[in-house]
Amino acid sequence: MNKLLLKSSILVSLLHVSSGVMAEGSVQHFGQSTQHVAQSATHSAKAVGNSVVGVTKLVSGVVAIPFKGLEAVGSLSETVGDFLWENASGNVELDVSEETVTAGPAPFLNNETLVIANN
Amino acid sequence: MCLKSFHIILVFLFCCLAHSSSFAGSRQAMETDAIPSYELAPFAKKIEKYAASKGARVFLIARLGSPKSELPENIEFTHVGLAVYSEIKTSTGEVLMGYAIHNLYQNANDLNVSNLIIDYPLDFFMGAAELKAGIIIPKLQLQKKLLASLASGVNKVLHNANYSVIANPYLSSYQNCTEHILDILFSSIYGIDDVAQIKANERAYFKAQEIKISPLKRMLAPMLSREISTSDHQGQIQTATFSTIAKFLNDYALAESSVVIDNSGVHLLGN
Repeated sequence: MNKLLLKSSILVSLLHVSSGVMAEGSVQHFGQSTQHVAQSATHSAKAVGNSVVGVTKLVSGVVAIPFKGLEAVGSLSETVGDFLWENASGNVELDVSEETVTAGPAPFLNNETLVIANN
Repeated sequence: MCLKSFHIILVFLFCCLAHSSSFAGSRQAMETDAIPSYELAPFAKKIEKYAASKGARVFLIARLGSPKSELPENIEFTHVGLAVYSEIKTSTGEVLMGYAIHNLYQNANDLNVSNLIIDYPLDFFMGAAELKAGIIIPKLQLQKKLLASLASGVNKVLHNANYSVIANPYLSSYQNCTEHILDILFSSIYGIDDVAQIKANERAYFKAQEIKISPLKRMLAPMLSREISTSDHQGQIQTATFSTIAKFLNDYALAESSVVIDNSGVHLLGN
């Protein structure tokens, strides 16, 4: 009986220390969550891209290039980006698309996303 | 008799721990209490639109991943990333305008290891305990420097994959998400990528957050959790936080604004 009590005390104490000290830190949630989003939107786990949550359209992002088209990153918007950047006063309103972009499944499950992350 | 004494000691320790402040909540509880996507998506878009309305090309963004009540004193946010105004090419070939977020995330299968990941505001807020975001918009000149740093891959050069939740920002033994952003900031401000010089500058000009943790937790935590290391701390535990970065940027006139956005509106950080 004493041994049982002892073991359970140790277990409870250790569990408490472990859970109590752990911070959320920077755990990545998007892998599980985009699947959850897709489930919310379509009741299916397979579709992540182009689904809808409430009135929000979700699309899957493949690559993101900073708008000031820097050579080292890419050149999607070289001309317009440079012009806007050089003339920016810091408070000029920028356009944001209405679609909500998601990163797709976790990178260790999806090679495409892993490549993006390592670019 | 010996066992009985040991049991009493354990019960005592348990009671002590129950009353000491926890660092954060468990992930399981977080998932159970997860904010539904139909609330997160418009909130994430609201954050994007706020930043865009201020003309922010690059800004610091933070989320609260655990209930505030479970965090140590003065910890307002638990994860920080760098949001960059971008052209986003989608899987269907569309090009959208919005923010991509450059993060240091823990490896889900190996919590003491991190990876650099680019995601988007909705992804960023998944797992948040509250619909609450921290935003620091740097001065335009600093935004340009930050963007140049990302373009030249400085974030990869400065990445240290050895992760600790309470990494000491003054040393390079471990790095967490916030310290990673701090290192990019210092690298961009000074135009350097030498880690030793960056750390020297941080020791000189950046004041980290002291974390109050009981001696027992401090001793046992590294044994019980791979994401916590205390070996890089002498004396008081100190780590970089969103709030201490905001203070640093404000003190040196490097921030345009620092705010918290929640469902009740936009508030100045610290108010």
